[in-house]
Amino acid sequence: MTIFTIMLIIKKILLFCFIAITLFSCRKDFERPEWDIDVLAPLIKTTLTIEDLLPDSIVETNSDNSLKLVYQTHLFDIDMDSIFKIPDTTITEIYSFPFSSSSSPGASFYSSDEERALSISNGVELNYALIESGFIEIEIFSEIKENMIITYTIPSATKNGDTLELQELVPAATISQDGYFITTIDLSGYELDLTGSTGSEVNTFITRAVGTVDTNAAGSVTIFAGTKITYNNKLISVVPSFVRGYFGTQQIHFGPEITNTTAFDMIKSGTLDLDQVDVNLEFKNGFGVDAQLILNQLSTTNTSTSVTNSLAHSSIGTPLNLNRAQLTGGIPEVTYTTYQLDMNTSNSNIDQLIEIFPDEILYDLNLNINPLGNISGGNDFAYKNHSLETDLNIEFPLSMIANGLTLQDTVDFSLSQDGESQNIIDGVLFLYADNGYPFDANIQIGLYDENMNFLQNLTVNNYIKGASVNAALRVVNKKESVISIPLTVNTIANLYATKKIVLNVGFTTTAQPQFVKIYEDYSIDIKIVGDFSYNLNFE
Amino acid sequence: MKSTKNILVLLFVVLCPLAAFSQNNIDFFADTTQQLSFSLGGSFVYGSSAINNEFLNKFIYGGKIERSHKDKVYKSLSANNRLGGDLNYEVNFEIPIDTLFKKTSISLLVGLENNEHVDARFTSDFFKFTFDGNKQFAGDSIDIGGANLNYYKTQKINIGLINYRYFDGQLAKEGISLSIIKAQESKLININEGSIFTEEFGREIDVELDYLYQESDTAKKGISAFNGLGISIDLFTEFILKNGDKIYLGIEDLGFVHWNSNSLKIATDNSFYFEGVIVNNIFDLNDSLVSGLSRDSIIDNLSAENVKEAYNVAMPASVNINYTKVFNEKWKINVGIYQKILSNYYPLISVNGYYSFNPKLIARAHLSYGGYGKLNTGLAFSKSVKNYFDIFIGTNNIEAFISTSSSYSNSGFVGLKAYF
Repeated sequence: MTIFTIMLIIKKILLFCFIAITLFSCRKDFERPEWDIDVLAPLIKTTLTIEDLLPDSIVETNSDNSLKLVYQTHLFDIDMDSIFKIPDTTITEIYSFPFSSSSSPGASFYSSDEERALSISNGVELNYALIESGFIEIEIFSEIKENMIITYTIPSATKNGDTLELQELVPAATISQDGYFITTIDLSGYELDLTGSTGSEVNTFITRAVGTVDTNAAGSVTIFAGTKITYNNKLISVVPSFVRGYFGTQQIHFGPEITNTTAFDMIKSGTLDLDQVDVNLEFKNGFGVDAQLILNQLSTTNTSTSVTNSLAHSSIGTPLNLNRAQLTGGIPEVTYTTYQLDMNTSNSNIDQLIEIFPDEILYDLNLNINPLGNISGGNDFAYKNHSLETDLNIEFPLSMIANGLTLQDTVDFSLSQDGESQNIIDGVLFLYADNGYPFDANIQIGLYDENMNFLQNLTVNNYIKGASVNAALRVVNKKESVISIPLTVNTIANLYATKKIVLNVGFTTTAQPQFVKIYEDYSIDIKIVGDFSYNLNFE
Repeated sequence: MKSTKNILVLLFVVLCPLAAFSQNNIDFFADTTQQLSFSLGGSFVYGSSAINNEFLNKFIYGGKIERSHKDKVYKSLSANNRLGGDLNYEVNFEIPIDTLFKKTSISLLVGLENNEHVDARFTSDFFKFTFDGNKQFAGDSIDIGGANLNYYKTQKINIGLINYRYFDGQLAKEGISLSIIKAQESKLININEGSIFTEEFGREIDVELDYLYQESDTAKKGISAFNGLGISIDLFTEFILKNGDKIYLGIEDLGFVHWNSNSLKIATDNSFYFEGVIVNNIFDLNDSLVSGLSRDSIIDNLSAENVKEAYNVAMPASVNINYTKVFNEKWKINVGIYQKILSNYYPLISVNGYYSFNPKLIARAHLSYGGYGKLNTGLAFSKSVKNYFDIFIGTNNIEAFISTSSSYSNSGFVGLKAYF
């Protein structure tokens, strides 16, 4: 085989490969097929109970298996600092040497014990305090021309048995400037004996200062008559965790104050007539002091409708005696005393305060501390963590007449852009409801984007019909309803943009004008069926 | 001399089948002598017993399958329908060996192939359910039992021997070829029993299903995926009868593939009752609901067994029998039967008529019935260029280019063969 022959073969192969590649490189990735199908399928099955309809409520069962709603809300607290405060205080102590003297290094030349009074408000006389937090800043100015060592002690302040003591070097004064020293001591955890040197005083603590010439001084130092040492004691942000003493006879007025309540936030419109409402206003006294509480006003307001109702009850303006709490000697530290004020539709108009679905509760009251004077012998006490608390407990049996009582809830919603759902073209959602409750339910569904911009309301055809009741006003058989929600192409597009759905469900009880009870075994069975045109593709 | 030459040309056409193209009978110009050759070709075929080309073309090449497309198919559906297709590229070297077992008539065959195959069987309900959804069956059951689908994508290395024999001056060949199969991808679905009942208002769906789904390693796709290994064999022989007619017998692709242990197996034989995703809080309408309705969750619900394990599959093999009669130097006719087993294929009975315009140009008319489709009519041409190249191109479904709505198969083939 010659070179020429080999070259000819190579030439043929190259030409062949060129043609072959040209021919067979034509295959491409084809477009994907797609087609539309009609799907009829169940999507969701659920059972709604009263807990689902009123998710933030506590539902309890009565002895006859009927249900009642319990709302508990904290109305207000009266804390320790409402009774007294230890204000930030500066106590200045100036010691002036009465005559000239000479002191050698290491010799004490000055010692002073002083009693200091705390400026406590409201006539409160404390004999003991356990400090939770706060500081004492000690600032010393010395005119002595030599370094000196100051030992500063507060014998009234102890922590784990140790007295608060400070020993520091105060530099020598110069011709133009006093010797100066400043430090801050954390008082957290210190116990303060506020009975002074005699043990019978109040709000009083003892300080002691001792001055010694620095042992490293070059020689004796002469202290001339009139030379001064000045101490500034600053109490800063002192907060006790426990105090004892006599809290004085005080009259404290609170209010009018408004506290917000979310108990009825879900209810947006309609009327509700409750067969019975029981409200219990509970005062819990955690202070070791007798008190007298006078409720001047209690009212509720629905700010949306601007409707306000004030409580009419015998307790309004009547002093309520709250006995002092007792020390337990353990944990918790106190046993609260309670005073309960019971109101119902028979002795008050409390139902009217509830039936307006308030979002604000207004109260105005007076609190008289130690109305009988110092009957404890200076043994009133208060813990910072135990206050005078007021709780509002509302109970109403779900026996009602509702007309268009509309509950609103906003729920998060997201249809994945990547999921199978994105291929829905249009269709209808069918909601099949087997309603075991004696009320009709009208549903409104609003679509909103992530910024709560309104997109559209879904069209809801028909409503959930309420079950009929028998002579005993009890549901025997569930009522079936079919609701259709058309989903147009535009609606589908909006659903993909929807991040929030605002559901409004309006309830109207059957068997009116009679009150109907809601029983424990009532429920709504719901099936949602999708009847969709769906585009199948293989992207 | 010229007529003798033409006759020889026709004989060569008959005597040199290119194994993978045997369904198409594309041997227009046969070897006159044993010589070094290099061939390259590609072919496709797809068809259905019920789905017309208009629909199939949309399905394969993409685009929107419209209502009118489906309605036409509905008219052709029967209780048992089939579809299938093959796409093949291959390149082969045929190299004469000086001596083997003291014989000089043997050539070595070396080649590469890329094959893609799909076949399926399905009920009428299955088709309607797949392409129109379940709403039309509200209050009724959808019968999907007996449906299956087989999809393979493989590459092969072929090594074989071809023996050249002469009978009264006519050349006949016999050969054997062994193929090592590199298995790329497979998907197998077999629904032994299955029904889907949709309650009248769609409030519940009952599924009864006995099915097996197998798929090769889902993490490895593409030409580089090596998800299994297999072997197959091709055998063929030709007989020259006393009257000069020829009979061809061939078996192709007889073998199996072992798909590796990363393959997926999903199987169940149970019933499934669906009333919707059960939610405790309907006011939590978020992705969890959508995911509850997702394909994966439905598979989870339907699957009694979902494991990774190896499996073996006998690959579709074909049997080809041809009888060729030469009338004169211009005319020749060929009749045959072709059957592809294990692939929902119906026996293809074919007649091919060849007409030689001159020694360098041959036309072939094709008529057949069976296979994946119904009636097939074809036309092909082959041109010999300066004795260096043979080029052929054709289709067995000329009707697919005339009326897609009334034809049920499509095919095409093109190839080159070079002599050195």
